[in-house]
Amino acid sequence: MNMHNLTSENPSRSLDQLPGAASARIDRIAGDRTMQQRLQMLGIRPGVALHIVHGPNKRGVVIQINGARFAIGNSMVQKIWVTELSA
Amino acid sequence: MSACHENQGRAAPVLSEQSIVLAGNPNCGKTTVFNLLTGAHQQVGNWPGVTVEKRSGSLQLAKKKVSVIDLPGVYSLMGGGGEDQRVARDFLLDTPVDLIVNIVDASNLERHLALTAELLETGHPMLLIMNMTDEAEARGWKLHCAELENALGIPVVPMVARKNKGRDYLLQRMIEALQKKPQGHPIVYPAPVEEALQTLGTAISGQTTARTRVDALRLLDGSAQPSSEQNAKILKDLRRHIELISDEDPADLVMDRRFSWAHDMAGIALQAHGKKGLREKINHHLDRIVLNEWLGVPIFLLVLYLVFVVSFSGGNIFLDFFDQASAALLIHGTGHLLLLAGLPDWLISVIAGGVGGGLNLVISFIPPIGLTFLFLAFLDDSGYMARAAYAMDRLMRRMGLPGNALVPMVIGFGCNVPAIMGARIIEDPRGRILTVLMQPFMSCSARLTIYMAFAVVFFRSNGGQVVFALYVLGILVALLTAWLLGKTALRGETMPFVMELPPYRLPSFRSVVLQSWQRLKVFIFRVGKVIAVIGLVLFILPGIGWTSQGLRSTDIDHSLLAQGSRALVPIFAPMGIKTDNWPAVSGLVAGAAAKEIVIGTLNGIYQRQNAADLMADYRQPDIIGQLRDALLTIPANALTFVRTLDDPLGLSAMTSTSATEQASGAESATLQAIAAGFTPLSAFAYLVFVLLYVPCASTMGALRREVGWGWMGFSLLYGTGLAWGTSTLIFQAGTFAAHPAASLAWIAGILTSFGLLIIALRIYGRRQEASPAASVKKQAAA
Repeated sequence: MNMHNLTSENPSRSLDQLPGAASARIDRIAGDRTMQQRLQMLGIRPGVALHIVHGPNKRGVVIQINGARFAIGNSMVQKIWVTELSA
Repeated sequence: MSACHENQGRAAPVLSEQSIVLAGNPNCGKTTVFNLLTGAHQQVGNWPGVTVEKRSGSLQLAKKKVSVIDLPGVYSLMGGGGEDQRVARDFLLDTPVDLIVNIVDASNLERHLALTAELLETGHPMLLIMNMTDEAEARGWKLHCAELENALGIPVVPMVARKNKGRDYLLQRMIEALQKKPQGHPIVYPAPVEEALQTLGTAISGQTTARTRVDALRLLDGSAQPSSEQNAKILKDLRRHIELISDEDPADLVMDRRFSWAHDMAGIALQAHGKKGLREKINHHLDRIVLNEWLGVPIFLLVLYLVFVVSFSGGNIFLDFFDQASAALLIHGTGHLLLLAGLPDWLISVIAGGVGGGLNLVISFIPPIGLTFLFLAFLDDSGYMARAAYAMDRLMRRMGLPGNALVPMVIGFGCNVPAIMGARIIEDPRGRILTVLMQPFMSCSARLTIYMAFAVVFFRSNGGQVVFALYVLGILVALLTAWLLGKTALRGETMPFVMELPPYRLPSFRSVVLQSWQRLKVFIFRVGKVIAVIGLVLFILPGIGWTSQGLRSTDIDHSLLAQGSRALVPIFAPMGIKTDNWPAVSGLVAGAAAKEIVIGTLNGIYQRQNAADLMADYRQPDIIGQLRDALLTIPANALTFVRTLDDPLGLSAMTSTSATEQASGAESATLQAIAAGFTPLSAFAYLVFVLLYVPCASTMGALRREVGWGWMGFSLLYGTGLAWGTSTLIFQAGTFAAHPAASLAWIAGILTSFGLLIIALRIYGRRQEASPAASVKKQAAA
């Protein structure tokens, strides 16, 4: 929960470019409004911190936000822009 | 919106019975709470399982009957999600209820509370269940229910529904809430939003204040469209005004307020306490294996394989007992009693042989089918299915399908009808049509009875493998169909995969047993009813036929049924059905209405052919002896089960023609007749036909409802054509050596027809693309 201690200026990049087991904060979500709405309902929205549980790989990525785990397919992973948080 | 008034009008007279509705996000344990509250007092709709339609049950509260409604999981009342979420949303917004019981997952509180914020706005009395408190504690959090109760203004009940913890306290608080009707403290939005809600509220008059507020909110955040030009203008002005003074989009303002509210409430309810527990670690390690890039798909196939092989072999231990004991009681016992009562011979044959024999066949399949349901319910509750969907996503995507299409497919193993409805969880229309059209090929439990009957005769030592092979063939044909249609008639993009992975849970014994019992009950009653009736009809039908003097009673070989079926035999000859095996054709014709009937039909005919033997049995039954023998089959079969555990898997016995093997275990007349009419190869071809052709009238009805007449018609013709083609291919390839020229002609013909079908679909797809795609492009350009 206390992941907001940014120590250096990390660039924003798409989720699939993060290393495994990294933590990051969502900057923005590209794509159409339906998709943004769908992710928002799940609690995947700009400003929240996530932790990578599995991947990223060809299949996609599994992330954890607070208590919940989500599997996100590869085509969507590229549309989620994040800033990596140093631990 | 006008439905609201109608509903209120209609609901008023029945309000003497109070109603409680369960609402919550998917995976919050709603159905578990529902089962806990209503127990056996449920009106099971079509099929329990993944809830895509509302279900109701009843409960005794303070000596009064209260109805309980279970809704599909919903993330938000504002919009989004599949058809299943729309069902829940419409119900919550439009139906007057006495109490909304909102269930939230305590281990994932903040997100679940976002829905609570919306529910509070509906103005219904509410109660909050903090479910799965054990998981929150395992994550190292401490719960403060009293504080949350103060902040929300509604009762808060901690529970672990899966372990039956907190039920009594819940009942007590529900009685209280039904009297006091606590409505809680809804969110207060920033001033400009509140002002806009006021203005919009007066514009969209009518209904209750709470409902008006919800409608105004939905207009403001863009999840509903204004009903009139005038309102559209008001809304536009208000939006601009808010953007001017706050420099933010009104939809974002509303959302931000809700999320920060949920964040604050979660902060009040949970406080970090010790360390993360063991459960978190187990979750993590299991996911590393199950989600592994290379192991994911093989693990899923292995799990399915084990479900069917263990169900079949385990079921085999009890199959003979169920078969012989029910035969002793229902056929011989009933026959003897009726004989004592002095009924005529023909009537005894109809009741004991026809109805009793039909029921006997259904009953003998209860062990394997019950075990299959038990394992599937276990998988459903364990949290594995969502992982399997993710693991299969890439493969499914190559077939043009979203990964969550896997969920309806697995439901389809039980019954195709709920599977077709289950496709509602898929959001994009193209993926949904593809998924719906796949379902008829998923091998349902009714088809399992036919496999079982044949497997018992021909494939006794490796029945599990044969049945598994048929299931896999069904999956392959389903995937191939989706791929083919996705490449030809229904081209387009697949929606990206996003799915919540619930934590692994050891399913509660109670929930798994209840769920599989409900499925089994539906199976037994539906199948039993149909088979009993058909058994009766088919006991009479083969008794009459056209003779030179017109319609007269004849022996079965000259009956109408025989004449009709014989006329159809040539169509089925290429897949190995011989003329004297016309009852097999009768079975298929009847099976187009319901697959359950196939075995019932065969039973009706074969029993009649053997009626004479049975009459002797009725005169001198040895029921006690038969029951004792039946009981003795359990240890004997258990021993076989243990011995064959190390037996390497193989499909070799499928082509073996050993007569001894055929006869082994064929106790009843029907099974013996099956043994005589088929070879193992033609039996397998017959089963493939049964797997692939028209599933049943109910499935056709569901198809029409979900995708319309056109696609239903396509599914019917395509399925039947494919069934015939595939079975013929199998039989001709298997007997190739005996008549190479004829086999080659059949095979070439089938492959050519398939090629023509692909071309026709492609042309259809191009035409479809030409019309709507053009308009989309125009829109993009504009």
